[in-house]
Amino acid sequence: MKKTLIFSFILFLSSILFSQTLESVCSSLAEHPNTTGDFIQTKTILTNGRKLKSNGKFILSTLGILWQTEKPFPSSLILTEDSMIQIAANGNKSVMSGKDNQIFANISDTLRSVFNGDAKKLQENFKCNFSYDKAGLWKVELTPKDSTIAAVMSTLILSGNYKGADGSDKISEATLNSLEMIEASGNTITYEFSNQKYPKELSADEKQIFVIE
Amino acid sequence: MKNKFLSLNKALQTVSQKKFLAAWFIYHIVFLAVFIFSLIAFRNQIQIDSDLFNLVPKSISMDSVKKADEKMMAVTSQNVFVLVANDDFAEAKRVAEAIYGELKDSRNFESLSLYSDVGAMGEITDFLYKYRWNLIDEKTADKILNDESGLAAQDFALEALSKAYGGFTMLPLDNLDSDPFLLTEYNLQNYLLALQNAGTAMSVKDGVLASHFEGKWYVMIRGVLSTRGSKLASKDNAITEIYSACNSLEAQSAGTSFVYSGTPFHSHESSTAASREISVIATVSMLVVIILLIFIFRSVRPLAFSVASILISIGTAVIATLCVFHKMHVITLVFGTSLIGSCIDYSLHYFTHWAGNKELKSGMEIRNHIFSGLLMAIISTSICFAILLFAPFTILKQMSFFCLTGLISSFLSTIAIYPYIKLPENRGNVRFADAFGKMISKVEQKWVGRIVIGVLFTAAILSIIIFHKNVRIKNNLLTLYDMHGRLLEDEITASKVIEYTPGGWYIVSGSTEEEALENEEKLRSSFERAVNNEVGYVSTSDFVPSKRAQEKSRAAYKKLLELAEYQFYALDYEPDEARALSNHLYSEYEAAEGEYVSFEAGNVPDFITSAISSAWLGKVGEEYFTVLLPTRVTDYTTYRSLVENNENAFFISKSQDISADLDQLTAMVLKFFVVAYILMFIMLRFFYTWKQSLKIISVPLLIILVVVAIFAACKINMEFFSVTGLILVFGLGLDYIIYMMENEKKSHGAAASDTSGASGTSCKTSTLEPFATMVSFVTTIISFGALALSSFKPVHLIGLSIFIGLFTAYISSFFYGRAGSAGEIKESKVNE
Repeated sequence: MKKTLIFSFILFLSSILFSQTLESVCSSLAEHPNTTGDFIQTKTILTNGRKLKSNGKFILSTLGILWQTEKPFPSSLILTEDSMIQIAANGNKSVMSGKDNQIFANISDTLRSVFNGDAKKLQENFKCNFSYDKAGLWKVELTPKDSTIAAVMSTLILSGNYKGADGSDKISEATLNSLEMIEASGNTITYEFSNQKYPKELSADEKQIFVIE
Repeated sequence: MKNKFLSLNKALQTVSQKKFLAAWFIYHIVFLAVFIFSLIAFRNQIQIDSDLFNLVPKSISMDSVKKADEKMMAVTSQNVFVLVANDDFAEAKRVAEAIYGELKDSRNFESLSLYSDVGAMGEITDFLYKYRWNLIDEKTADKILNDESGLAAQDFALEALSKAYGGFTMLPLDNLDSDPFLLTEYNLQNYLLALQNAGTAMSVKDGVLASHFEGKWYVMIRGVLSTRGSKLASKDNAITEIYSACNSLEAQSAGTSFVYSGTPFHSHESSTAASREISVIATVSMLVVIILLIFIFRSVRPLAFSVASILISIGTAVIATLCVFHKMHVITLVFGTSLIGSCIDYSLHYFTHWAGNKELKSGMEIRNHIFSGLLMAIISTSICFAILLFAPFTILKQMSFFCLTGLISSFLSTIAIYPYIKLPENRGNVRFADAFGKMISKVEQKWVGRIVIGVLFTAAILSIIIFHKNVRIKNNLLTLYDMHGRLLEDEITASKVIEYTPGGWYIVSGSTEEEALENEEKLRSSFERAVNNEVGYVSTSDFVPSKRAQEKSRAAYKKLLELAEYQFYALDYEPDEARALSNHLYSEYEAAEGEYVSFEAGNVPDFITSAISSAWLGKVGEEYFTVLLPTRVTDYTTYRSLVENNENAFFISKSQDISADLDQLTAMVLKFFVVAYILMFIMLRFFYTWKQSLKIISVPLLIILVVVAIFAACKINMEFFSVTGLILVFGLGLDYIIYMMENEKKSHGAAASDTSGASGTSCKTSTLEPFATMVSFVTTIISFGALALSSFKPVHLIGLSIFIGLFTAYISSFFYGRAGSAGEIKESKVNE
């Protein structure tokens, strides 16, 4: 009985600790209203072992998220609170409104909570498995709670660096360095981020990207 | 002429009582026997119908289209939606799952669904992959085929590369080797777009259909009622089961509420209300009858026999209607309760003489005394009801058949059974009869009657002139059923949450499946142009294109294949590999020649069949039908104009079409009225003098004038149901003037033959008939007055017009009687 009580207490303590550290990472990431940078995307197809590599630029901001693939074929993905816009290399634009379609609203909401480091939303939508080490690396594995999203994406793994790893469990200046999306089919998409910058304000052109006409 | 009636009357009066009794037995036993036979032969068809849609006439259009429309209505009218609402999605889903668990095995539902099977995604992608070259939408295919430079095809290929290298694809890239243009992804996007355009704001969330609206989550349970479950007259029907399941869970789950939507909920509500109304109307009418009979006759025997006669009449009417129509609408039963008022007329005439007329020494003599009046009354009433049997509307036929068979039963009971009832010992003891006699003696002056009748005519005509702008035949289906209370609130919430309010649809036909689909595709493109792509719709060809469109898609794909090798290079394949794969693609494409997606081929997957269940009607009769269902109607004129000169497409808007049909029916019923009027006059002329016939036939005219005048003054349109009420008044209202006329004749005869100076007794007995008429008027007006209080607009309108009409009929009959009888009796006395 005594052992059970001690074990429960440890579990309780670790869950508080875990929750604090995830929130610390998220709040550290969210400290920056805007993040810009470069990414390298690798899509790995399990059935034929092929890899499709591309690279481009990204913007994470309170206005929305821009995913701008530059090479080998340009395209853009813009996520705002209400819409998901895809612009192909030929300039064809397809807009999916969250108002019209709850699925896209859910996906958009989920993706934005990942990139914006919204811990509350992350915990609402995912089972979170957080870990970090004293070398300054953190990692969180997210498993979707929503069976509809899980049918497409089985796990999301986010990882990055942080400072303040002095054993005091105080995480600060966290950065998001990579993201791996494991699809239900087993295929993976990995993103590696570099050249992250944290401008206080976006330029007028950048802001214009998120204005949906 | 008069002799013919007298001889017929005398001939019937000489018929022995046993023969009448035999007629009574034969009439009732025949219906009972046929009913028992029908119960066995049409076991599953004999039922009480409470479907709201059957209350109004079916849209009058081409037979084949009508059948297709009925098929569609049969599907859509059995759909129910329950939205489980809670601030917390998880709780709303939990409660929805609990309800689903409770109801899913019920035999009351043909299907019940909560989960939107995410496993079906595999089935969808397999299908879209297999027929990828058949399913390129027509616009894109046209663009690729019509561009000789090949730029459109290159554009398509480039877009696929952007997706492959871009950040987001809906499907995994597993089939890149055989689908380098990502056609499966492209087709899926189009399907999802079609589903999105098809209306509802509900989307899949955590495996169920849900929507977030004004801070609440709504989880949807959809059901289709089975034949068993849709029998709303039975206690354990589907709707009762849903309410029971939801009510118990509503109490257990804090913050959870339910929104009910679908026709069956309204049918259930109206059916329950109808049952309540039947109880109220029947109870009130019976109570009035009981009190009146006990009070007036001071004996329970008239009461017991009258009630028995009424019950036998209603029972006979019910089984006769079920024998002939197999289904009886609950509204027929509501309306049929008014039979009480008519049936009691015959009983009251008999028992008034039974208790009060000492001159008649036996039951047979009473029968003979009232026979001519009752016979004329039943003939005139039967003519009116019989004419309604020709109306092209089942409910009207049912009502008239119900009343006709019920009245004949009551008439037979009066002349065949009542004469066997022993006469009371203390006769001449009818309460109020003397007081009524004194009252009518005060208005015996000819001028009183003439003034009252004159005033009625003048006032009615003046009112019609003043309010002539309000006199119009106009029906509006939407005003016939008033949604109220929770159901109204629920429908408002449901329409906001689901965002699906179709007001009309196109039914598209073709002699083959292919032709129907091609016709629909043509209509789709003209519809999209007309609404500027701003209104979504459900259509079959969005999911199952015609072969013509699929051929076009294949041709476009063939053009894309020319770019396949480069596409593989661009996807980072080695040159040799790219060439080999490209060749393989071409041979795969060739091998699939002649393969099409079609219902005929049986390769349309279940998820598509389910998605377009309200659109694809299939073969109905000799033709194939499909439905293009816009999510809303923005402009009825524009929508109709799209198919004006198209013999293969029809726009159907239930509310508008049925209202227009009701207008036509109203005009038709008015024509019936004219026919009944002429027939009645011929019949009257057969039995009465010119003067008497004109006097009698002027009563229906006055009834119409007064009803129209009052409706116009109160700004009530002459709707179908009020006009139907008028026809019934015509039959019932004529009874009064006929009784009065028959009484006049008898008084006249009695006064002429009274040489013994006992005229006091004759005059006293001559007031018994008007007294019986007055009592029967009171009972009838009470039962129809109760109908006017009904919450059903159709019943209310019928009741109101009958109430006003009967009142007019009685008042005019009463004063017509006074205007003629006294003077004529006096005249004959002087001559003697």
